[in-house]
Amino acid sequence: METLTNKKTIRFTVTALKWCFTLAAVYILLTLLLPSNYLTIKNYRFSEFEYRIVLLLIAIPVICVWFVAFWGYSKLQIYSQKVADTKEGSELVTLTKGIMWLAWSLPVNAIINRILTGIADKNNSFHSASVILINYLDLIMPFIAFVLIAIAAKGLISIAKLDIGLTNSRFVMLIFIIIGVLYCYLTLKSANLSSMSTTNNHYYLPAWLIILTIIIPYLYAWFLGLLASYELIIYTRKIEGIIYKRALTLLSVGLFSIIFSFILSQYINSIWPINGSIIFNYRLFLGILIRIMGGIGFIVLAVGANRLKRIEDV
Amino acid sequence: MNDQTSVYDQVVRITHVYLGPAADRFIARQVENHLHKPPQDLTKNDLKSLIDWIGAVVSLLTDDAVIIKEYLKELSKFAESDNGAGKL
Repeated sequence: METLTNKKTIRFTVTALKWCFTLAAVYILLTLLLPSNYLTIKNYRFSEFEYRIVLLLIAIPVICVWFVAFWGYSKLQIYSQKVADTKEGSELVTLTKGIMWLAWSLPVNAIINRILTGIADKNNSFHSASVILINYLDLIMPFIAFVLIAIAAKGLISIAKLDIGLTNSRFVMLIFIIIGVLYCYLTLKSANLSSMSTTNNHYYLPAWLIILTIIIPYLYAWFLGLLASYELIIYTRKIEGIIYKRALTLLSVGLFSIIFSFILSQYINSIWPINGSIIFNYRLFLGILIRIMGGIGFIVLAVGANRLKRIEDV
Repeated sequence: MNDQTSVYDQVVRITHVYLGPAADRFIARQVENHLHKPPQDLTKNDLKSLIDWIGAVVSLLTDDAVIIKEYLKELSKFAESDNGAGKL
């Protein structure tokens, strides 16, 4: 029975890593095969071969983070399956689904992004459409993930009968207001507000559509993400069990790091939408750094989930 | 609630301080796997053996010797106390 359980748990990780390997292979193939970006080649005087090598070098740390993310969510999946029948089991299963959406969003978004920019590189008239689609794509999957994580966090708080209290959450609200106001300012700065219907901006969308379909959904998703992180930290702090709490702390710190890295990444990407060409500046470096921060979050989360699982194993 | 159940409940209550929500499941597993009886049949006479098993198992979960010692001390204190059924 034990052997069967071990086989089943190994299968979760192997399946997740197999999927990640497939997606990474697709991404690398697309990087090698899709049309090159004329502006990047011209600006940096790359040959076609050098251009492909540079793209692959940039992809290496990003793909490593995908593997870590898939490995991390599979560990949480193993733990949540183990405790699925317990009082907090269904909330942990929902939390795992949220983390799974985040992990999958990394390669799926990157692949679609690569295809859209590839088409735009070949056909210039598609450029604005690709920017619009990439912007929405960057929002959808993490949005679903944050909703699921928020439902799970709320559920865990109510199962443990914990009261977060408005006073305690004031700090989160203050941070969110600062982030939100700054985001609105930076986003609308590029939009031509003299006419609500003009699409002459980074987003190729009229200002009213930017507000309704970009600013509001992003702010709502970030609010859910930040609140869920906060609720899980409170849950970890107030729950009983010295040994249990140590493992759970790792899990919630990992989760916070993942959510924070996604918010930061979305923040930067939506303020300055990507136009397809590669620019070797602080933004590229920052983007990779944020992804690595998220990757570390997935590792910490996996270690926490492993320790929690061990409590259920022995 | 009978006396046997109360021994189990008290062991779970002590364990809850260390293993939180996993305490109930943890003790039930130890009783079933090592003492080969249903958790509700746990008596005070089983506690010495159970504490030995718990000591071995908890050392797999944490390296913190202070916590392990404190946990086992709490269990031993309960085992030596006069309340509950099947007094030692």
